[in-house]
Amino acid sequence: MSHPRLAVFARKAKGQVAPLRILEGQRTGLSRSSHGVFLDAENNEVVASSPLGGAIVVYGREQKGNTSPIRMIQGSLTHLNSPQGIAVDNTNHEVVVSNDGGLSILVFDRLANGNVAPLREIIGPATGITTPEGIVVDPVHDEIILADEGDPEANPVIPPSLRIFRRTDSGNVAPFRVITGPSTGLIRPRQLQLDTERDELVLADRGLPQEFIYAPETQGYIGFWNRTDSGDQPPTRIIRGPRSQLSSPRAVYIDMENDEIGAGDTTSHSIMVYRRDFDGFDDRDDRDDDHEARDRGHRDHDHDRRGF
Amino acid sequence: MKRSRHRIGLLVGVLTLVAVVVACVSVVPAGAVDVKPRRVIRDRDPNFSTLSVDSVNNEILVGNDAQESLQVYSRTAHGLVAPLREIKSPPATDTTSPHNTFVTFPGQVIIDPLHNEIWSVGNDIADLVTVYSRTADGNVSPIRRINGRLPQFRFNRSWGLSLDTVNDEVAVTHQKRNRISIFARTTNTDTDPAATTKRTISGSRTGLADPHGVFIDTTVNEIYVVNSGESLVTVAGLPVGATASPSITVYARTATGNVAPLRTIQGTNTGLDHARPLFVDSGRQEIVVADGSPTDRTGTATSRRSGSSRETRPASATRRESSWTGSTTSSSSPTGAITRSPCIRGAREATSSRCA
Repeated sequence: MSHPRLAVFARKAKGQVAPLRILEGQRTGLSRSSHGVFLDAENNEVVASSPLGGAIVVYGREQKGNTSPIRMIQGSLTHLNSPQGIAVDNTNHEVVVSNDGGLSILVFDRLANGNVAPLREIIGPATGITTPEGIVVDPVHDEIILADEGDPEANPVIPPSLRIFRRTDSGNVAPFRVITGPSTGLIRPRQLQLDTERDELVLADRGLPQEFIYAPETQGYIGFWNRTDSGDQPPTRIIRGPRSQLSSPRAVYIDMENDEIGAGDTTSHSIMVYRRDFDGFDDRDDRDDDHEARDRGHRDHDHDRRGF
Repeated sequence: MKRSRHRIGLLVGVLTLVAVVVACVSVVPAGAVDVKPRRVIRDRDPNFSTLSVDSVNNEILVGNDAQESLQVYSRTAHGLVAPLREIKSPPATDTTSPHNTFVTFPGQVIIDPLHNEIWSVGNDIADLVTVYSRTADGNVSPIRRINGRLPQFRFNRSWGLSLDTVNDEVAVTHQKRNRISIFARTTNTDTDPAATTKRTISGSRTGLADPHGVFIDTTVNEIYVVNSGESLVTVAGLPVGATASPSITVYARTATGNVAPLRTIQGTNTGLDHARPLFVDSGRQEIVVADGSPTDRTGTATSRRSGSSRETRPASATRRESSWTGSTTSSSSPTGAITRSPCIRGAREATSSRCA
């Protein structure tokens, strides 16, 4: 919906369920198109972009209602202009922002508040930043990975890409790795995540349904690449197709603890949750899991009764 | 000779087919898996995001952004009822059926009984105005479109729509551009891609900041706009994010360019809170706006009053619980402040009941 708000659901929520809590209203400072939302579990905070107000807003994790952010980065020193993706680096205590209107990546102190200058800014023609969207920071390998939509209307066309910079880069620097080209299948890349256990990049690509183009090869998808991939490299695997119920996913999350991947789909206004080790022959859903667990319980109970 | 030509033609056909397949393979990466999700969170209720009442034909039009459709109900409908008509394409996951309607994220909607037409503007990245026959039903094509993505328009998050049948014009607001565009009512970029706006209102003096609902009042020749308050202002030549209080700004109907509003209603007394649609009752000289959640309130202000020098409280305010706001589904954000309407729940809405 076009009403800006943050809604929190139970992790195992399913079907038509109410959110646990909602943060919405004038005082929140949220605007429409808040595409970047980062749950900072370590600090019990939620960090979001507010593109129309050129701001980054930070809330307590359990904050709800029409309440003000606990911190807000906004003003002339910030260089924020239609911020999109957000990533928090708790190793180096920084917030990394993809800044669509400024064609840049901005890095702030994690506790920055008010009209403050970024610590670093990656900006300039060498960066190749054209339409910055999702962003991930990897403090282990000291990398920032940016999903960039490119510009399909430019002449010549600027293709979409995943652009990898060093975490401490600043100024007019080129990415040291780029995933781009026709074999990548990139169409309209959006939110990006890093699976640190599998060393994989996981991308939500919204495809073209929002441009009213509906074909199997232009539907949105969730794609996976090895973190160190570069060049015209196809994803190692993708989730796409009618059974997936995906049409135009803009958001993706990885739950390594519970071995799940979730996607927020724009055109169906839904959240889909998949097994992280999915395969095409797996038709099980939670109900089957529940049956399995119950059967397992019955078997265990039988074993107990029989003295095993 | 003919056989030889036929063989060459066949060979060319096969090579073309191979080329197409190879090209397709290059855009469908290996390892694609069409896997069933374990769980899906989805609201099957409608979200009546906007509303328009046709007192001539006794019907109500609602924009339903949860199901991406336009629905028409009887004006006197009540309770769990099916719409009389619904303009709706197949789901986006259906890649084999035609998708004719172009309805997505509907912003404001309008019924025009004079010309027997229905209007809608697509928000999010659609930036598209679509016009249908008033009695259209199903997966139907619009009879006219204004494609806001054309370079001469550059819409960006268009939401508000108001029709002026006296001067044959339509106004559209753009959240991200902080702009109002005025078109000739019959503009159709499908037949005239070079069509242009008649006028635009935009610039630093206008006070436009994330504009939503718009209303053209032809009785006093004014345009009213409700603003959420977020915008980029220019400081030393650079865009800077700003969050102002929400406001209602009023302009002359024929205003153009970077003009200051004639009047502004703004401030903490106004109680405006993510207000969306706006309606002016000229007879009573009142402005009606609907606030979004969690305020869920419809406020009424005197249309001739200005709050730019002193803050203005609404003349009256009505909470959703007291029954006459436009949107009364389980979804929040009443965004249909047009007229008194009965409580209608979508036919699929069986699990919640705020209509009681």
